Amino acid sequence: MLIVRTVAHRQLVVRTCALAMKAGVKPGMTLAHARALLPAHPMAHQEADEPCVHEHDPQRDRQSLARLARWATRFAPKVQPDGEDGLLMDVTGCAHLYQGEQKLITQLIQALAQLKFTALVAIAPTFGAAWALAHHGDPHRRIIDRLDQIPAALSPLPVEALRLDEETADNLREVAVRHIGQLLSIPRRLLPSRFSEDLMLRIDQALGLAMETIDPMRVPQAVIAQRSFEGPVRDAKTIALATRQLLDDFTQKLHQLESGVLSLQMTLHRYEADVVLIPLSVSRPTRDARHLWQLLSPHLERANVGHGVEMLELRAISVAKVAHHQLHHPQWSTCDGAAPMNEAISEQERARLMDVLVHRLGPDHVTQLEPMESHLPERAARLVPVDHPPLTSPARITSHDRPTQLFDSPEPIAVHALTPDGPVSLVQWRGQSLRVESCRGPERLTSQWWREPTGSRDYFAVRLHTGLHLWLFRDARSCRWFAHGWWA
Amino acid sequence: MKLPREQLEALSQRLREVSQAWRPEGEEDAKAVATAAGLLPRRRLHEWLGVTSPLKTEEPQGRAERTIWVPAMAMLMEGAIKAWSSGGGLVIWIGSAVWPYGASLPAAVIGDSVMVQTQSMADRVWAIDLALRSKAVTAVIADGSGLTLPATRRLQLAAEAGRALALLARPSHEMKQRSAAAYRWLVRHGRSAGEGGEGGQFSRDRPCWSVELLRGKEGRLMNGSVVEGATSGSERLNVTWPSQAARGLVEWHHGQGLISLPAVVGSTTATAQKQFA
Repeated sequence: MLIVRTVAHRQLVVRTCALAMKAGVKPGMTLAHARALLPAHPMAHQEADEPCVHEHDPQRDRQSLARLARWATRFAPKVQPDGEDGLLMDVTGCAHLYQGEQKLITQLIQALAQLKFTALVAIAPTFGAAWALAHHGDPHRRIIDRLDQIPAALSPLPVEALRLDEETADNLREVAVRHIGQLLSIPRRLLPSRFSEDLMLRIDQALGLAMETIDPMRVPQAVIAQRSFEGPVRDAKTIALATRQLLDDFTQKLHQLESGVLSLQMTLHRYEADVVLIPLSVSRPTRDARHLWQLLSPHLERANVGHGVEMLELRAISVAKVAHHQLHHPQWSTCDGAAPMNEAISEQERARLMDVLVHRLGPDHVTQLEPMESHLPERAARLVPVDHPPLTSPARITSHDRPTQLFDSPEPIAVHALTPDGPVSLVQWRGQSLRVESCRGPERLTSQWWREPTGSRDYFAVRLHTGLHLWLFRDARSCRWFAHGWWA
Repeated sequence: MKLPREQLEALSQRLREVSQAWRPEGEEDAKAVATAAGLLPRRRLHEWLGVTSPLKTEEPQGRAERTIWVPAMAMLMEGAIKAWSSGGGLVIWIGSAVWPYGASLPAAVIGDSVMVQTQSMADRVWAIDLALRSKAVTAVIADGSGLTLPATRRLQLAAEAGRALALLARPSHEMKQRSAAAYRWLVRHGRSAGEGGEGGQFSRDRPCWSVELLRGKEGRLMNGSVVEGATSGSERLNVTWPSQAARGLVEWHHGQGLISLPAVVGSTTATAQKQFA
C-alpha cells in the first residue's frame, strides 16, 4: 500500500507499507518509480497486480492520531500526539502497575499490534532521550533507567536523534559531527556561535538540563449513571421507574458538563445471564430526559429481562457541547397570535420529532426529497433519509406547472387521434376507454444525453371526460405512450 | 399627577400588548391562526374526501366494481403551502398515497417537507398523532383511509394539543364512516363555466374541482357565507363560491401552478360578500 501526495502534477510517495518498503520504495519517490519497483517483488503479485494507492490526507491522519492518543490514556494519564506519527506519554509512576517498564513496553506494543499498528517504544527519564531511542536506538535496548545514563545511551545515535531541523543536522555533518557522542564532546561555549540556539535547547532537553513539558490530550469525562437493585427485578414498571430516575441522574450530569448526549448505551445486568445492551443515538446533542425516555422505552419493553435485572447502567458513548440559547419570551409573539418559536428551540423540537420517527419506523421510512440534476420528472428528485448529509450539487427543484402526483413508474397507455400527429381524442387506460375533452402540449423534456441515450419525451396534459387531468408522454425513440401523473 | 393623554394611550397600548403576550400559547384562537393558513383553522382535524372516483377498475363479472382512490392533492398541497408560508416549520406527509410530486411544490416547502411511510395502520395513526403534537410542525398531511372513529377522535385531540394544520385525505366512499374530525370536505371533479358549470371564468383545459363543506363543528360554518371571485387581482386564484352555499369551484392556474381555497371557515356573516386578500 502506498500513500501519495500530489505536488505540481507529480504524485510523490509519502508513506509505504512494510511490503513496499522491502521492495525498495521510499518516501519521496514518484508513484511511477514506485510502481516500477513493486512488480519486481514476488509478494506484489500475490494479492493484486497493482499496488493499493491512497491520497495522503493529513487532516485525517491528525484525527486518527488524536484518537490513538485518547486510547493510549489507558497506559498513562498524560499523552500528547507528537508530530505526524508519534505519541509522547508521561509514564511516571505507572511502570509498577505493569510489573516493570519492560513489561509496560511489551504490553503497549502488543495492544498496538492488535490495532494493526507497528510501534517503536522507548522509556527514558526525559522526553528527548526517549524520542531519540525510539526513533534511532537499538531495538533490543529501549529503556534508560537514570538521568546519568543518558549521555552514554545517546552517544552512538546520529545527531538527528536530537529532533534537530534539517539545516542544523546538515551543518553538523559538514563539520564531521555525525553522532551525538561527537557533539557532546565539543565544548558547549563553542556551539552557540556556530549553530542555532535550538541545538543547545535540544541537547539540554535530551540530557535533562532543560525542562520539557507536554500538553496532554484531555480525555472527556465519562458520563455514567448506575442503579442497583437489592435483588433481581422482573417487574416492567419497576424497571421503567428506575430507568426514568436513572435518566434524571444522567441528564443532570450532562447539565453540569454543559453537554448533551449524541449516542449512549443502556446496559441491563441480568441475574445469571448475559447483559442486554441497548444502543441509542440521536441526531442532535440532547440532555432532555423525557426525549431520551421516549426513545428508550420501546426498546426496554421488548428487552428480555430473563430471571431479573440486578443493575441498570447508562453510559454516554458520544457527547457534544449544547449551545446556549435565549429562551422564548412571550412578548415576542407576533400580532396575529401565532407563537413564533425561538429558532434554537424549534430546531430541538424538529430533531426530537425526527429521532422518534426514525427510531420507530426506521431511517428508510422517514425521508426528504433531494433535488437531482435531471429534466426527466422521475429523476428530478430522490428520497434520502432525513439525516443524510446535504448534497453539494447545485441542483434545485424548480417549481413548474406539474401534476400534483407522479406515478411510481410510467404506465403504458393506448392513445388514439383523429388525424396523424393530431390532438389526442381517446385513450385506453387501466382497462377503460376514456374520451379526451381537451389536450395541451407538447412540452419536450430530454434526458442527459451524456449519461443515457434515452432520447426525449413529448408531454401532454389531457382532460378526460370524467374530469380527471392526466399527464401523458410520447417516447420519441419508441413512439410509445405512457401516463405519468395526474392533477388531483 | 396628571399624565398627558398621549402617555396614557401609550401606556394603555403597552398594557394591552403585555396582557395579550402573556396569554397561554394553547389558548390562541384557532380562527385567527386559520386566516394565516389558507383560511383553514389550525388545531382542528380536516378530512378531505375525494376526489370522487373518476375511474373504476372492472372486476370479473358478478363482482362489484372497485373504484380507484385519488386523494384531493391540490387542496392538501395548497393547505400545506399556506400553513408553511405563515411562519415556516415542518410539513409532514404521512403515507405514500398523499406524497406530492416535488416539482409542483415551491422549493422552500420541499426543503421543510418530510415524507413518512408506515407499514401498518397502528404505525400510521401513531405517526400522525406524534406529528400533530409536535411544536415544530406547521402542517400534517396524512393518508386517512380506513381510520376508525376512535382513531379520528385520538387525532382530533392530538390536533388540539399542537399547533399544526391537520389535513387527512380519505376516499369518498368513506363518507358514511363516522368520524370525530371537526371539518369534512368533499372534493369532486368540476366542470368549467363554458360547459354549464357553476360560474366563473374557467377555461376548458384547466383542472377544476368542486369543493363542498360537509361538516363544520364550529357551529357557525354552515351559514353560507360568500366568497365571489375571491382575491380579485391575484392571478393565481380562480375561485367561485356562490352565495348561500357551502360549495364552490376551485381551478388550477397553469401559469402559477397553484390554487387557493376560498374556505369561508370561521366567518360569522350570513349573507355578506367578502373578499380575502
